[in-house]
Amino acid sequence: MVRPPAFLTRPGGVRGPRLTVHLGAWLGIAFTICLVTGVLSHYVQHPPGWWHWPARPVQLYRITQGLHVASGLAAVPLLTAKIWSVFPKLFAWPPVRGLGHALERGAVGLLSAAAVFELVTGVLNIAYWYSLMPFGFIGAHYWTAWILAGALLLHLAAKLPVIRDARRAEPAGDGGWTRRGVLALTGTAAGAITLATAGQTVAPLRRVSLLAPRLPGVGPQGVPVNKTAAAAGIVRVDESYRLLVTGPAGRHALSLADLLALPQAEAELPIACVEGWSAGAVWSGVRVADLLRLVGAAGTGRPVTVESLQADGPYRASVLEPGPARDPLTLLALRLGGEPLHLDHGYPCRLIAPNRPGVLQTKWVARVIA
Amino acid sequence: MRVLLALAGLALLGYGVAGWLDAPGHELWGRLVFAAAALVAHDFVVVPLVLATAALTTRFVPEPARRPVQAALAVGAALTAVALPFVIGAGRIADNPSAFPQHYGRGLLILLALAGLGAAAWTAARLPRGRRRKP
Repeated sequence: MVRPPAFLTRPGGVRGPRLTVHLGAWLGIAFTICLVTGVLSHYVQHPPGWWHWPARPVQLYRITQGLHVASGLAAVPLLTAKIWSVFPKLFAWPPVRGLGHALERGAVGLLSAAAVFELVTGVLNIAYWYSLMPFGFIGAHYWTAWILAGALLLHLAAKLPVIRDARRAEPAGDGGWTRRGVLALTGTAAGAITLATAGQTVAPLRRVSLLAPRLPGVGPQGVPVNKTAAAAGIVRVDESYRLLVTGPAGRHALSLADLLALPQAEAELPIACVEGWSAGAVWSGVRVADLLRLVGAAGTGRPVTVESLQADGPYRASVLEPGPARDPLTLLALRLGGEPLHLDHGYPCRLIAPNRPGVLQTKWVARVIA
Repeated sequence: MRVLLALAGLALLGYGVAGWLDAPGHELWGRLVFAAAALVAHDFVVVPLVLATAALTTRFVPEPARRPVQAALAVGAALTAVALPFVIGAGRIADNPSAFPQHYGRGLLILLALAGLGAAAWTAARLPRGRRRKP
């Protein structure tokens, strides 16, 4: 057998249980935030029967999804540091000492694989680099998160005695590096990544966030766009446009002039994207509640389906729960910042509702069905 | 406590594996190959490179510059790892200039230069007093 070079396998130095436990705790916190916010976001978009998602607080989804992406990005150096801190154990000989040890190592393998998988697919997703992933991102990223959570708990169960005893273990220094020094360095790397990217949702940071995938304020009418009209197959919308509103009391076909003649409401709401960026904007248009009143659906407990002019695509239609559909801030927006919507923002009208992921804020609305 | 953790872990693991397996075969192969490749790349390329760089800089960079240089390399590598997909820009969409609106190559170079400046400042602060230039 070829022996790996000594610099890979040499244990000791600054590395030891106390450092590893500390790095593991940080990584565990980051992964817990990712899991909770990620499952939340998944349920908002793919709601199970028992699920309800309120319209308030208005900014909630913006914060949870911003945290999801920020803690995932900060976890990148934490994960490498954590694996670095125990790396010589990878070459332990004999590789397996009995069944318990085999299971423990199996769980570690699964944990490492799932952790690397989640961080790499997450970064590729916010960079839209789908050609590198030979699978659908959403299902893979979602289900691997549960595997990661399970393997993490198994790893904790196996290592609990080591974690308890770690306080007493104080390793020697390594070329001048102390345990605190390594922790400070890892924290600095995580902090640098956060500062370099968080401006995509924390607007005051946008000047320092040189790596932010989006910038609030950059885009048509000062708001970023995920899917352009051209990408959605919408070339132009002309005078023949009619919004069809259907409810228990009948059906109305409204032109853009009809919509502008209805009472107009204003709402300051963010576009908060699944990829972690968000941008606040002032929208105005017709309250969905007012449209529901026209067709006798105001007082009912019916959910409302909003459909786009888009011919197809996973986000062609979205469903508003009965409560949020009748929220006074839930609009079919006709204007953004006082001007008619840019075609890329969904001209002639788009859904904008509080506490809702951007992909569910249906653009180029053609039908409202209650 | 350990038993409870292990049972909860097994339950979540089972849920995740069941969800994973509820996908067409080609999808599963794609995920498996990708997971294996990503793990091998991290554990057998990235971490060994970190260790080799640590060993080389410990051997060849004299104090007081050693730790500052190692720190700048570590922070720079972490920033590069996150920046690389944006620098390469394979996900850029031609008709959507608001997605990825920055010059990510230039941004990364600026951040790396800042890390280098930080290392230089830290080294200067660690120079023995006698060797510091008088104000």
